Order: sequence, then C-alpha cells, then structure tokens
Amino acid sequence: MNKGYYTCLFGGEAGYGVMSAGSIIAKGANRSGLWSFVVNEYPSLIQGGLNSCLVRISDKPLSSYEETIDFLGLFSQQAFDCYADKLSPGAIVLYDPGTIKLDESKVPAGISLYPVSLASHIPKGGAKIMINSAMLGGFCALTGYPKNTLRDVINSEFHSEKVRQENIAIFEEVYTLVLASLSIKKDFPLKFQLDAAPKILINGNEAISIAAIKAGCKFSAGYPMTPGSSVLTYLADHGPEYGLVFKQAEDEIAAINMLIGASFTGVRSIGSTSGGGFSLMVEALGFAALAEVPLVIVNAQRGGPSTGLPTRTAQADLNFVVHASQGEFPRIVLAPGDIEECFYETFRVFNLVDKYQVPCIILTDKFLADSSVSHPLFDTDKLTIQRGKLFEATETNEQPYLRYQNTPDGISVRAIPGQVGGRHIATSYTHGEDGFYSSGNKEYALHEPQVVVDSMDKLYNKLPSMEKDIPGIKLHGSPDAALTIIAWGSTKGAILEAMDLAASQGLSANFLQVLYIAPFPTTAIELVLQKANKTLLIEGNKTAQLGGILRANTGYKTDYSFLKYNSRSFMPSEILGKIKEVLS
Amino acid sequence: MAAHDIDLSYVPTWCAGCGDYGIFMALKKALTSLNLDLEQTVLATGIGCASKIAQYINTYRIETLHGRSLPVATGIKLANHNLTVIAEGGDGDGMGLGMGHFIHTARRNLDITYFIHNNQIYGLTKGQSSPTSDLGAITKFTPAPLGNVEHPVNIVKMALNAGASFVARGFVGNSTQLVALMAEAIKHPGFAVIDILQPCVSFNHTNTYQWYQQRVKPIEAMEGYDSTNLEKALSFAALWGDEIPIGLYYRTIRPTYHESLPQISHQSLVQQPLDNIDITGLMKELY
Repeated sequence: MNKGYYTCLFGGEAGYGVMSAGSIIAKGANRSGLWSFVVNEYPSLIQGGLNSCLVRISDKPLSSYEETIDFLGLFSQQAFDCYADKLSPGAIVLYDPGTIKLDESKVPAGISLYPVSLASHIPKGGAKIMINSAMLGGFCALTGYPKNTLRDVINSEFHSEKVRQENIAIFEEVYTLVLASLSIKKDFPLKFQLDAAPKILINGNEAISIAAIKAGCKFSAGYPMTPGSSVLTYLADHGPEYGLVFKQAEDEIAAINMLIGASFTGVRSIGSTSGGGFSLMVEALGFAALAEVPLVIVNAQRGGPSTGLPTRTAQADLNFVVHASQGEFPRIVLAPGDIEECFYETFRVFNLVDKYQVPCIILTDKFLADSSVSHPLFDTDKLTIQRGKLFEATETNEQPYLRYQNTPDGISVRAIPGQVGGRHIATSYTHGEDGFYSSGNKEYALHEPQVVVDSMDKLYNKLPSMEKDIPGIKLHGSPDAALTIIAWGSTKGAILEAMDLAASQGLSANFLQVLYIAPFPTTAIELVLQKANKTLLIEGNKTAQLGGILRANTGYKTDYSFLKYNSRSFMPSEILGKIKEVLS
Repeated sequence: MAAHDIDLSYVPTWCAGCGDYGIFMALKKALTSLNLDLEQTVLATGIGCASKIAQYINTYRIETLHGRSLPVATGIKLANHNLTVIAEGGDGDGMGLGMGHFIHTARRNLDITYFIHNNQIYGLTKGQSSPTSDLGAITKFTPAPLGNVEHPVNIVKMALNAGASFVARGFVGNSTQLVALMAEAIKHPGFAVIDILQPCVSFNHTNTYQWYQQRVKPIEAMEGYDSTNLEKALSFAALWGDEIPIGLYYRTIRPTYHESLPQISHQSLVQQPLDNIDITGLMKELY
C-alpha cells in the first residue's frame, strides 16, 4: 500500500475464476465510496495459460494502474513466477500449498506468505471455479477488506440459488479459518463507506455500447474479433429492449455492407471489430464515404500485424485507419482516451456522422476496451439527437430532388427509401449531383472531368465546418509548462497520473491530447505548439505514427519520443521516469 | 400517393443486342404488373454490366460494391422491412465475390428478391471466365487450348442447397415467362432467386441466343415436375446440357428472418423514436 492506492492481483489458469475474483473485489470497493481500476491480461485460449486480474483501489478517482502488488492471490505456480518481483514491501501472498510450491528464496524480504488449503473447501464433485470463493474468504481475512461488503457482491453475482449458497459457504468457512489463525486482526488501509453515492464499474466497450444505444443506434452487424466483439455482445444482449437489431454476419465485409444498407435506409448503425476485421471492411469504408452514408465503426486495436496478439494491446493501427481505402475522402477518426470520452464522444460522433454524412472510426485498444473503471453515472441531460439535413416530403417540390446537390458546405439533403419524392440512386461510383455515372453515356462523358472535380470538391467542402465543429484536442495542465506531452488514445490515464506525480516533485508538464486524429486539428495543435517548450511524444507503437501525422500536417518534429510496443499498456511510473529524463 | 413513374431519362450503355435490355424491360413490366409503390421499393445492385440496371429505373436504388448487393440489401430490409427490396447483379458479381453472401442470405431467408443476370462471362472487364463459365470455355483468363478447367457453379442447385425458399430460372429470350417469374419472386415472402440466362454478345460467342433457344425447356411441362418438392427440384437442377429447364423450380413458405425479431414486430427500425432514450437501467446494471 502506498500513496492512497491498494493493489491486488489474482493470477492462475483460465477456468479458475481469476477475472471474477478481481471483479468482485472491485465492485465491493466501487459500491463503498472507493474507486477501482481493473486490468485483465489473458492469452488467447479457453483453458490453462496464465490469466491475471489486477485491481487497484483508491479513495480518489483512478485513471491508471501500477504493478506494485500489495496482495497476490495465486491460483497457479506460473502466476507466482511471473509476479513475485512485483510485490510491494509488506505484501501478502495467499496460495494453496497443495498445488503450488513456493521457492522461498525467490520471495523478497518482508513478504508474508499464507499457505491455505483452499481446494479442500470445495465440496465433493463441486466445480473447480469455486476455489475463487475460498480465495476471496482468505483475502478478506488477511487484508481486512470488509467481509460483509464482499459477501453482498458475491450474493448478487450468482443467478442459481444453489450455486450462490455453496459459494457463500466456502467464502465464510475460509474467512473464519484464516481469521482464527491470525494473531492481530487486519484493518484495510482504505475506508469503506456504507451509504456512498452509486457509481458504475464500466469498461470502454460498455461505455461505447451504452452511448450508441443512447444515441438512437438501432442496428449493429459484425463478426466476432477480440477485443472489438464485446461491443457486439453487449448490443446483442441489451439492444433488443431498446428496439435494436444485431445481425451476426458471415464476415466483416458483409457486416459493414449491412451497416451501410441500414444507414442508407435512415437507421443509425454501429459496427465493432479489431484490426483484422477492419482490414476486411476497408473497401466498403470508401463506399460509405463516396455514397455519403453515415457510419460508425469501432476498431479496438490489438497487437499486429496479421493475427498478431489477439488479447493484448497496441496503438499501431493509427496510420492505417486514417488512410484506409483507395482514393481520398474526409472521415472522422475519434481516439477516446478514457471512459468519459468513450461515452460522450461516441454520442457526439453519431450526431456528427449524420450531420456531415461521413464515416467515423472510433479507434480504441484492448486496454481501454477491456479495463473496467469506477465512474459516476453519466449525465445525459444535455445530450440531444441531431440528424442533420434530412429530406422532408412536400407536395410542392418544384425542383427534382438531387441527392448529391452541391451546396456551399458540401452537405446535401438526405432522403431515405420510402420517402415520397426522394427517389434517387446512391452509388459507389464517382457521380454528379443526381448520383448518375456512366462513362459511356454521351451527355455525361462530355462533362466528366468537371463532374469529377465538383464531386471531389463537394466532399472536401465539408472540412472547414467539420474542423470547427469537432473538439480535436484537449490541453491538460498549465499552458506554460516546461514539457508538453503529446499523445492519443488510452495512454491518457497514465500520462495524467504521471503529470501529477511529476508536479509533486516540482516538474511541470502539460499534455496535448489529440482526441480526433481526422480531420486533423492542425490549427488548434499549432496554437499549443507555439507556446510549447520541450515536447515528448508518447505512443504504443514502434514507428511514432502520431508523430508522423503531426509532422506531415504541421512540419513539427517532437523533441523526444517514448514508444512502447511490448503489447502492454503504459504505467505512470514509466512515464514519470521519462519526464524526469527529459527535464533533467 | 403511390408513385408508378418507372422510367428515367438516362440512356443505358449496354452493347446493342445485350441480354440486359431484355431483363431491364422484364423488370419494369414485372414491377408495373404488381402495381408496386416505387417510393417503397429499393433496388440494390453490385458492380458490372448487369448492375448498371440501377442507373435506369426509378425506384430508390443503391449501386453497391462489386459482389456486395446482398449484405447491403440485408441492411435495408432489416432497417425497414416494409420496403420491397430487390438485389440484382451478374453471375461474376454474385457467384464470385458474392458467393458467401449468397449462401448466408439464402439460409437466413431474408425477404429479398435476387435477380442474377447469368451470361457465363465477365462483361464489363471484357471477357474473363466467370464462376458459371462452362468447362472448356475459352476466355481471356482461360485461353486456348486448355480453356476453363473449373467445374461451373449451377446457380439453381446452389440456391436450392443453401435454402432459398423460391428458386427459378428464366431466359431473357422468353420474356412472358420471365416477367411472370419476376413478379412471383418479388411477391414471395422470403429469399427468392432467379437465375436469368442471357447472352453476352460481345464476349461470349458460345452461349448465344440460339444456344439457349435450342436448350431451354419449360420445366412445368417436364415429367415429374412438382415445385413443392425439393428433391425433384434438385433433380431438375442437375440438368444442364442438351436440356436446360426454365421456370419455377421450387417454392416453399418458411418464416423470414425479420419475422423472427420481436423488437421489430410492431414497427420497423427506421420508425423507432430516437429522442430521450432512458439508459438508467443499463447504468444500474453496472453498479
């Protein structure tokens, strides 16, 4: 325990309820006025391997985590081997000596080992996963985490009464046994409140899914791909009560084309995938752009290239999504940095894609998509639906309707099938104002070069108002700091915490967060850079992709860069180290 | 007021004598004969000569990517199942890139009508072999002396096996039958497929009007015909050579995909209100 944080980690083979043990502890804290941050790491398999669930608890809001473990709950030998060197001074290790033999020479000094025969408490024929209830009982006794709080959470986790009772019995039994073995009763270092205001424990994919429902999204289609598919799972599960249809597609090509069909018909639509699935969607992304069909696609990045690292994090798809598909067209690329932005910016982009009739990619990653964070309930009072220029049928339309009419802002009135007087052709061909294209057509061919220029200019005439409308950047911290950190996406939380740590050591850094990578907020960034002293680029990739985009758009080259591409997310301590190095 | 003005002023760019003209006329006649409200009708096509039909007919239309008419049509149908949704394209578009979508749309029994212009060749890219090209066909990609060595896709057989609930084959040279089949297919509640035989006058000099004329035979006059019997339909589908049956092979009624969705049983997705959606319940689940 240091500086107001308590960190527990459970590790073991898949199938022992490692994730649910962590989640139960996080929920208990979350319901009791504390704040939790839950990071799951798991390989791409169903049984075996090493799963870990880290839960960081604090009495103040959390935006990140550290692997400084105060309590280590072991379900396998491998978990000890992997995490022994991450134990904090005074840490507690709980394990079952029947299955795990600890080499005490590898245990750092000052660490308390508690061998408890956890498995022996599972009733004959009981599921092995129940060992996590035994683990939680021991956890409460050894750490002083309020037992009744945890029991309440366990109670609410099980749907079957029999399973519930069995787990509670194991939990209580081990708690009592371990407590009795202690000479001094422990106090948990953080204070639990019984009547705390409710908070939610939510991950990025859940925040995006709920925002989509709030935004009136009624259609989703997709194909499973970690870590993007939990958006689809959420919508398949919760969507129907909100009138939403989720359609599992035969592949991601079908998925995005279904989304285009639904959106062309006037229904707000969302897809979600990871880099490989997004690769398959790329041709249709350009189709949506040229046909001016609004579209929202989530790409939750994982390690690449190719199948890459299905269950690990990366920020290496940025260049790809910014440039994906042949030809040139405006698009929106949103890179939310935290739960707050996953929710509110997803809601915003549904309005933006309708207003500008463009596709949007929400670029997250495994770390943001999958990590659960305590968050106050979302305030939805100010959220309003704006659908942009929609065709309204009148009896007295004098002019024939032109779907792609040239307008000063590049945005044409959009009719949807079924509307009287709005019949038109939407098309993947370069087209004139009426949507017509045929290079062999005599009248058309004569004007083709001009039609092509007009159609391309029309798309790009949207950009000035898009740039004004979209909050492309956020500047965190003092404008005249000694160091400006430049980053995007899920690195936000670790950077903010590192800035606080730096400030407490007399080092001043601010943070230029690029929230929307496309359209690139050049003007806003240049204003910040004019006042910047030293600059440090932080990205989860090998080739400094945002750095390249920044340089292409502004000519600016950052002074330093900190790139991490080992398939794990950034931690504040690493960033603090870099800040110190740069400012020394 | 329902709109029935089906013609547009654009002039088709198909080659003189192309079978697409006949299919275009047949489609217009079929739509007119059904007295459909064209404002409530959507035509989704792929890319290719056949798919250009979307440029010339006054319904709502979407000219999608090559091979992708069916998933787009699926999205349209699920977004507003009150619309009449027709997908259309060529044999290359539908049986090449589009094959996966074809199988899955059929097994789902979406209420979509799918017209495949089948000339056994890629026309717009100027004469490459298609998935329906006969064995031995000499094309740009399968030159002499070997010709095409791949077994062709039989669209009718494929549709029957994949679970299409209405399967027919038409011939552009038999306009009366084709119009009637198209009208029946559009009326059919479920995935209705017509394999429409047509020549490509520019690039397929084997499967000409005469070649088809000599072979096509009305299926209903053939011995053992029973359009309610899948096994019989499959046995007729196996005929491709001296005799090519044309007409309705098979029709059955089973629930369509959208009928299985309770959330759109009262109103279509596009009719649902978007304002003031209450997400409190979703948040409370996450306490």
